[in-house]
Amino acid sequence: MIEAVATSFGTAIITLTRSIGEAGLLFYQVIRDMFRRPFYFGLLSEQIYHVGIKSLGIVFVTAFSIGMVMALQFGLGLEKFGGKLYVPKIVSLSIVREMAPVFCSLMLAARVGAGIASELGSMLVTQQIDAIRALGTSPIKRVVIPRILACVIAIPLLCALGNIIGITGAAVVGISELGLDPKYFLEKVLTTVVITDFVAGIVKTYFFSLFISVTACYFGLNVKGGTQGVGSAVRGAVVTASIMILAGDFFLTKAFFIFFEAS
Amino acid sequence: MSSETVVEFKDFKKSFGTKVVHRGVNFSLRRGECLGLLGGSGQGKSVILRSLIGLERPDSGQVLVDGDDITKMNERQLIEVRKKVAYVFQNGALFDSMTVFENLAYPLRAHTKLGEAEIRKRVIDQLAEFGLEGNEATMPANLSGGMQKRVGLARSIILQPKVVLYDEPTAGLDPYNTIRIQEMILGLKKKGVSAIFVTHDMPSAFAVCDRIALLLEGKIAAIGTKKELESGQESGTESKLTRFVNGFEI
Repeated sequence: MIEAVATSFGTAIITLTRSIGEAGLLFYQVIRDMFRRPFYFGLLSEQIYHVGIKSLGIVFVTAFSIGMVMALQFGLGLEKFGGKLYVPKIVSLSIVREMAPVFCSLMLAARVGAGIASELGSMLVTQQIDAIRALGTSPIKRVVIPRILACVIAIPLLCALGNIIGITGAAVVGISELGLDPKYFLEKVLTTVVITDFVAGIVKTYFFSLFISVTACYFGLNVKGGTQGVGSAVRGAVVTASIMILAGDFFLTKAFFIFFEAS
Repeated sequence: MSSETVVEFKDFKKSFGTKVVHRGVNFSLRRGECLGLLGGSGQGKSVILRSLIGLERPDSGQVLVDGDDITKMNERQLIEVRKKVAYVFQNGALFDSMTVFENLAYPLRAHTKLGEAEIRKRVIDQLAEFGLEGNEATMPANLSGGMQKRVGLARSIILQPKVVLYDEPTAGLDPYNTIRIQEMILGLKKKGVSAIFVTHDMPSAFAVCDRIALLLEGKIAAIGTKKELESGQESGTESKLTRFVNGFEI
């Protein structure tokens, strides 16, 4: 019994360590090949369209909902203590520093991460990845790099847009439900949120975009067991990226506080 | 390695985890020859083909292409090998996000400096040669299995390779498409292209191969010409090839 538990624990540790190593190796190959010819700008713009433009809807819904719910919750809660007027300050700061980057990234981990993992997994199962290599080209350059770069370019922009949409959602509730003056709301937002808050939120999304894209590419390129394996890879990619975003958010926030306090 | 030899496997050994697949494979492919590679399922025939273009690495041994050991090459060095050794995948392995035209243009765009007009001409000529004219704008998903295999074959050889590796190109095809694939392989043979032909389709193997090798228990158990095979005199301790071909247990 103890031996079986120890064996399975040991196997899990070895598998995890190997996966981290392999994902690290994949990232190293990406960095190494990114600056080597040939460059596939057409494939990059195609991926930016898939990751960026096609994700606008989900980012809009996510950010707008977060803004509305936060304004309502804070408004109703603070009203009892006469603190309703603090809603624009609290909500806008929360959205810009935390809520929009984290929630939009989580939604994009599901949408974009699942898409990349399933696409690459299907390509692997149908030997298209082998065909890319057999035809003397590199799957890292043709498939992986355009997707990772597209995520690094598009996800921070989507989250920046999420900030504006989230605050707009909060303003809609603040004005219509809490009876706040639109001019007052806007003035408070503009005087509260400074560039440091915006940067702190957006810089995190660069890390989140790497968590999403590298994880999805790694899982997609390591599908085992045919089409059934594609499902497992998608699940693994989304769960792993989400955990990395949530866990990474704490450490990144902590790092920013240390950095900005020190400077 | 003689000048007549284009590919040579020397004491090739390969395992997957604890499963030993190849225990020392030795054979060579002569220039302009078509060598059939037979063997039961799971004997590692496709692994041999994949190792020839560096898609798999052996645990030990050598794989020589034109005298160069490719097992020691990195991915960049393998590009040159992959330009002269083409791989025809079992199901075509066409890029499903691209049209037939784009699939065929892919190797030309990657490895030549041809202009778009010349690429278009080469692709259309190649499609016509394989009886696929008029399908330039078709997506692979809308092609029949036989057509997908023909497009896969057309794409593989568009760079005019010296060696073609066929991985069960006739598997699952109707007699009409099987004969068309055989004719295409024979046509390439006439142009002096060497080939390794992995198959379970005995009539096709007899129709296109000069010699046939039997992979058994991780080694080449027997190898011989069609004539030697028919007379039961192929090299090997027993007439294993003859027994395998005739459906007997070996």
